[in-house]
Amino acid sequence: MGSYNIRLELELKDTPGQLLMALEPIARFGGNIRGIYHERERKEVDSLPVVFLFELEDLKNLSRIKTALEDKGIKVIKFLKDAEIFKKIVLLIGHVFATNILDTLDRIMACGVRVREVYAMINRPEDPSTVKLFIEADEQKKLDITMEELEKICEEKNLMLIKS
Amino acid sequence: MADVRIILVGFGTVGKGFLNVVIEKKSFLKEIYGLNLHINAVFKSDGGFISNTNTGLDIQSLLSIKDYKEHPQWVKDVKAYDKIPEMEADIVVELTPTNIGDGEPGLGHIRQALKSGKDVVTANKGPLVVAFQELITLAEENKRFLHYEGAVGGAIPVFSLARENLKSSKIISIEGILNGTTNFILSRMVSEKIPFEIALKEAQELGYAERDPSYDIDGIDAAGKLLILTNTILRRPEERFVKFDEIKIESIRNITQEAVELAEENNLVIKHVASAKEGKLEVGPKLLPKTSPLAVSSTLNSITFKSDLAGEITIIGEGAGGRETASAVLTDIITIFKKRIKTKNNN
Repeated sequence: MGSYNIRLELELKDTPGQLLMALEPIARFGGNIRGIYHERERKEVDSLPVVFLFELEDLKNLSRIKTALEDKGIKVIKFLKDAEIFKKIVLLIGHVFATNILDTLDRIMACGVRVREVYAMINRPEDPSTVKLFIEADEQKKLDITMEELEKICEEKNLMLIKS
Repeated sequence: MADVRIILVGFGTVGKGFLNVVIEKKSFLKEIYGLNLHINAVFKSDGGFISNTNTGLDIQSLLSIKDYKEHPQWVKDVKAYDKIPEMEADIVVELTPTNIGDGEPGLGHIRQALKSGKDVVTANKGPLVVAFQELITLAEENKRFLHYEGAVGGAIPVFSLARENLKSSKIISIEGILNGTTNFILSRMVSEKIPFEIALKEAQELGYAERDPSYDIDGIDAAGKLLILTNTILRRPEERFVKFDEIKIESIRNITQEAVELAEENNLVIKHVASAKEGKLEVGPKLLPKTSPLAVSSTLNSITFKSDLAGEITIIGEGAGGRETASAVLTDIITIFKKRIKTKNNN
């Protein structure tokens, strides 16, 4: 199952505690907050628009979040959802850099996916390093193809592949 | 009251665990199931204890004697392989050590038992990995039962859950942590932030891992169990039996401490997972959400069945240990006898 990026714009009263009150239903229904920003330039006398960016796995929860916010007296100005995103985290263990990590990343992205983040933990040059990749795709099939390609790459480069 | 005459082959941790459980459950078995278990013989590699009475051996004396060779019923150099066909018995309980190479000596014992009209209960994976199809066919031809609940997941009722309790569902895939030793090592790497080598040493000191740990940590044990699960639960009657060399196996040896840390940042844990999915058989490290029911800690085992009607069902329990495995062996004996009594009544 994939997940969705949601952009939710709310009208919050400019008083303490409002932000927390708005966050609670988002978190309760599985929203993973990626960012929050105020639009102070559009501020009214006693309220201001606030944009919440979050990921949501189950789209059914979006209407639950809206209802819960409205029950708390928070006005939902608008919301936008992106197309579904499919994600995978993988770990590569071994001589990931010495075996040309740029080539590895190019070959992954040639499968039509995005490598959103790369984390590496490197020891002495002779020791294996560990790399974590966040891979995103707009179709599950592209992720499946990528995993097959990664298996090939890891076999060629003698790396250990750990998939989620 | 039904008398159940048993030949036990194997007098190690599991064999002794089984005998202890037979003593402990003696009155329970009589009262609840009407079964009176007699151990007519116990075989070791260098001889056996053979009863000369109808009531079987005095089990307590076998378990308490310091030098087994001094036991009055001890017969030196007698072989289970030769004696099984000659002896009168209902069930042969085969609990010799697992040998995935050629399945022996267990394979020979099971063949002899089935051919000579005895039901078999075993927790020994070796014969099932090496000769699954042959043994199933042999049992069918001889109208005998071959039960092996203790061979996978120790005390966890894996096969009876699939066979008895999920009858209405078609099981589509199986995924599980099938080896307690690797799970202990990986769990310690997470909880104590220690490298693989230290966690392995700890497992060896605590007796969870052998001096040569390759059988566990290289995934051979888990792969053997996966083969038995696949052939028993996933295989349809018209399909062929899968073989050991069809399983892709990856060790946990090269998992770094850094990998464990990087996984933890995203609430994931690395587990050694055996899976049979969409025709692919694999044993190897996998990232699981910490909240996954499969992601059990310490020496625990877990198995998830995915089925068409019942959805996903996960069972968790101790996957090894003399007493735990003995519980599975005893359950198999009760199951077989209930079936025998039912068949008798129907005729």
